[in-house]
Formats: sequence, structure tokens, C-alpha cells
Amino acid sequence: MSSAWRGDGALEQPVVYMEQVSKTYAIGNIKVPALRGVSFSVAPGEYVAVMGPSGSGKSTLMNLIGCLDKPTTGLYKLDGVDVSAQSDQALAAIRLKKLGFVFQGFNLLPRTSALRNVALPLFYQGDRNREAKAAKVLEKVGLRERAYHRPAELSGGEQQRVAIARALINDPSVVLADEPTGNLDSVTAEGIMGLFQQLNDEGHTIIMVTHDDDIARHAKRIIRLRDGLVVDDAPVELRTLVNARS
Amino acid sequence: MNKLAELVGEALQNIWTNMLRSLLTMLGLIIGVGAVIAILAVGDSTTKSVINILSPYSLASAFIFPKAQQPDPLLAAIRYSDAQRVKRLVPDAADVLPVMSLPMETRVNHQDKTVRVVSAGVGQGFDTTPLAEGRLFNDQDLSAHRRVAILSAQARADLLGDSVDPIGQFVRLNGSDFEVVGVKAQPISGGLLGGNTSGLITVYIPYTIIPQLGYTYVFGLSVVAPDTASLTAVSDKAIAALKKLHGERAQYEERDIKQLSDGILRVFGILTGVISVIASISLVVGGVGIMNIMLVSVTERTREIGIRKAIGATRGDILVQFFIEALLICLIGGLIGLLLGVALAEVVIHLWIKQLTPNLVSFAWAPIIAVSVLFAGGVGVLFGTYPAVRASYLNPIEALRYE
Repeated sequence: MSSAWRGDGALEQPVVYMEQVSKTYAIGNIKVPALRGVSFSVAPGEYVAVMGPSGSGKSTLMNLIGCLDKPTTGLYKLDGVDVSAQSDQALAAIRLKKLGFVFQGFNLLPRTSALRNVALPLFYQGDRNREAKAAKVLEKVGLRERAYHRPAELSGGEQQRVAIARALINDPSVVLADEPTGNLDSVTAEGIMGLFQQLNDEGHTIIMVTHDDDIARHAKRIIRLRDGLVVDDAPVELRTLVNARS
Repeated sequence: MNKLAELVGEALQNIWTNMLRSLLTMLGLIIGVGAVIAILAVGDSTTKSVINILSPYSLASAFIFPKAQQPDPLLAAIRYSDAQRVKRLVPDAADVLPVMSLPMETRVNHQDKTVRVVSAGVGQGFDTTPLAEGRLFNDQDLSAHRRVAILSAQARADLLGDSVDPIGQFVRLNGSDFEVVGVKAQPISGGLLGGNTSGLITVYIPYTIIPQLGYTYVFGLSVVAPDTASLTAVSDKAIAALKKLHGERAQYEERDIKQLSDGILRVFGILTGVISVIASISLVVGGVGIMNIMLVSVTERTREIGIRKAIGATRGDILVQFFIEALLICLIGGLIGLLLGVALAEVVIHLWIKQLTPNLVSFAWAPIIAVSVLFAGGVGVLFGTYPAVRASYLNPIEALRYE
């Protein structure tokens, strides 16, 4: 039952498995459906872009995948574990161990150095060796020299690299990126996308929400949403992939 | 432990970054704690000083005298001879002495001077100020009606001068000579009760001379109990005995040092209580101020809370973080309040309490520190919990969207 319905992930247990997931918000007495039965799965090592116009439910989907919210109905398994009806406390623990977030607005703690921002998840894990580990991940994103700078002293691209390092520090099952280049100019954005590509090449599973076709083309697979439903789910052509890498 | 230390460090950094705001936030608490500390310190110092002032006087003796208002004053008047009779009727009493205090004339350097002459018995008696020189009265002095005197330190200085060896000298009181056998030490305290408030200097003479000076009636009786605890019982019995001798209509009252000190301490107690209530109102107001600022801080840092929660901070993590911050603000405020309060207390003690007693006793630090930590911590717990709980319940999705 936990096998992915997409053929290419069938041999491995999917990282993300969603079956008829719906989400309805209650605004006063009015019920607003944001997702109306979404099913898909993501295998380890995939690089997926989630696209769709505003109001299509992609943010809601991202919140569900990120265990920030619970589905109204349906089944969501993360790493084979049903997380669709967990308590808030349990979801926090899952986010801490299995998920990495990259946001459009970087969302770094302003008064804290890059190094300690990166180490923050390990702080909540009670890891005593966290600053050494954070330094290693910062090196990986090319910011070793900027470890003791505060976010305000870093450029947008650098801040996003710090945020990516923070998302990687707990060695997550999946990295979730929500419009990661939305606040960046196109040159810087290309750099960030290169970094994501590198991470994916190293085996990280990446799910990215974007409305930008150029950005989405960096992924290997695009899921398109409209009105709370998956309307298209297909691999990106090889040609585009090659272009993006060159 | 490591985690806690880091949260404390982060909270301190936060407080430091918003220095002015933090200080203004603490102000109510600083004033409240400062006031409480000042009152406690002044109260403590005053209480000890009062006890110190009264310490030269025996706690085991009471003074019994006729009430000022009564149906038949003549009936109640106490005779010299009553002392003996009461003693016989109250075997529990260690001693019963007639008490007389009279102004008498003397001459010093060709000038008339009035001294206060107080009757005394064998041994220390009521005024336990130790002797500086010579001896106390003995049984022979009393039984032989010797005209001997013990001078207070002030009397020795005024009547004889400090350069003269006082023992064996004579002082002339109302025309008859008294040989000085002892001199009392400088009283360890003065002011409120001590030696010289009325401008009179005190000379003690054996009480057995009272009849020879022509007095049948005395001021009252000094009743000495075997110990402090039995004083009330013994003096009650002495009053009963006097009533038996003089008739039920005669009315007497009793004074002892314990009553007096209790009275003084009660007044200070009431004062302390009233000011403490005002101070605790200030503490509550200060606490509300802290809660207000913490709520503002939670709102301001909504996004930060969202980030932390998204990363995997639990409700407990967020709660502890904000709780520690509120608690630290309160403890720092409490510390500042403690220092200000102690400074204020020192000023009050030196400007005002010192007038009351030259032998000042300082306050104890331990209870004052304990109280300020307790108050500040209490306010922190009471008013820091709600904002912290509110922060911990923020929805991470909404918090992340907060601008």
C-alpha cells in the first residue's frame, strides 16, 4: 500500500506519500476547500517543483508536506510513517528530525550569527557539537568566511545560502523550498538553483514551490496544481535539464 | 543545562539590545522592590535599635503605681511600708522595692543644679547599665541607712568632673552629703529613654533613706520577678496584694520594658505594614508593565517564533525561552531595586533613625536579599507566564506570514 503509484519510485519506499489528501479551512461559518483530494508520492532523491497560480493550494500543500499543518482528510506518510493525525508536539519533533525549510524571505534570526542560525535546529535537538557541524555545512554552501556575520551583513544570496545550510544541518529526508529565489535577482537566483542542483546530485530530496517556469525547469519533475487538484504531474524534459546545467 | 544557559544568554542579549525599553519596563518593579527593601531594612534596623536602647533595663522587673484617674486617690497612694507587706503577700516575687524619683538641689562651682535622685536596692535593679567604677549598694548600705550614692556617667561628669577620682567623694543633695561608692558606665544608648533627655542628671541612693528624707508615700513599687516569663504573673499578684491592703476601689497600673518595647515595635510594625501594602501595589503595577512589554515583544517577534517552530522548536521550547526572558527582566529589576532600596535605607537610617539612637544596629542582609529575589521572581512567574504561553501557542504558519 505504501508503494508509489509513479513507476520510477516503485522499488523504494517513497519519502512523501499522499493519498486523497484534502484540506478545508473554516473562515467563520464558511468552509473554504484549499486542497480537494491530492495524491502523489515522491521517491528518495527526487527533485520536484510544485507549480500553480495563487489560490491553487500549493502553499497549503507545502504546509502539509512540511508538517506545519494537518490534512482534513486523507493519508500522508513521511518516510513511511503516517503523520496525518499526529499531535502538534509530535509534528514539531518530525520537523526537527526529518525536514528542512528554505523560505522566500530567508527567515533567519536577525540578531544571530550565520553560524548559530545554521546550528539552531541542532540546538533544539540538544546537540553539543552543533557549531562544528554548522561550520561544515556553511563551508559546503560556500560561506565559511561569513560564519560570524549577522544576516544584515550578508547579501540576499548569502542569506539564502545560510538558510539552505540551516535546512541541511539535520540531514533531512526532504528539503522544502518555498519560492527560494523570489526575493533574489536572476543572477543570484541562478547561483541558488545551482546549489539546489548540487544538493540533489548528492542525493537530497527536494520539493520546491514556485510560480516561475524558469526556476521550475531546474527540477526533474513538475506537479501543477489548480483549484486544489493536481492537474499535471510530469518529468521535465532532459533538454531543459541540460540547458540549466550549462 | 547547556540549553538553559544558552537561552539565558540569548535572553540577556535581547534585554541588552533593547536597553532603554528594558529599563523602563523594569521601572515599576525597581520601585516596588526598592520600596519593600528600604522598608524592611529601615524596619529591621529600627527594631534592633529599639531593642538595643531598652537592653540596659531589666526585662524581669515591673513598675506598679496608682492610676492617675481613680475614685479615691488617697486610698490608692502607695506607702513606703507597702513594699514589705506586698513582699510578704507575694512570695513568688524575687524582690519588691519602693520606688522614688525626686528632683534635688546641689551646687556645682557655686551654681545651683537640679539632679534627679532615684531610689535603688541591692544589685542591678531596673537599670542594668554596668558600673564603670566602684560598687553597687550592699545589704549594709541599706540596713544601716548609709548616705551613699551611685552616679550616672553624666552625673559624674557634671558634678565631679572627669579628672577627679569619684569614689569617696561627696555630693551634697538637699543639704546633706552622700558618699559616692560607684559610677555607672556611659549608657550604651540614650536618646529615646536614656539618661539625660530631661536635662536632669541621675544619682542613685539606697531606698532605705526615703523615710529619713521625710517621705511616707512613694511613686510606686518595683516588683522583680525571678525571670522574664513570670513577670506578668508576679506583677498581677502584686497588684492584687495592693488592692487587698488598700481596698478594692484602689486602682493600679503596671509598666514594664517589655510592654514598652512591644508598643514601640507595634507602631513600627503597623507603619511597615501600611508601606508594604503600597509597595506591593507598585509591584503589581510593575508586573503588569512587564507583562505588557512581554506581550509586545511576543508580537514583535512573531516571525522569529514562526521560524523557530518551523525548524522544530516545541511549544515548551518557546515557552521556556520567553519565560526565561521575563524572569530575567524581573530578576535584574529586582537586583537594581535591591541596590536602590538599600541605598535609600542607609540614607533614612543615617538621617532619621540615628537621631533616635546613637548606637545604631544595621539591618541583616540575608532576609533582604531573599525577599527581593522572591518578590522579583514572583512577579516574573506571575506576569511572565501568560505572554510566554501565548508565544508558545502561536501557529507557525500564521507566525511565518506575519510582517
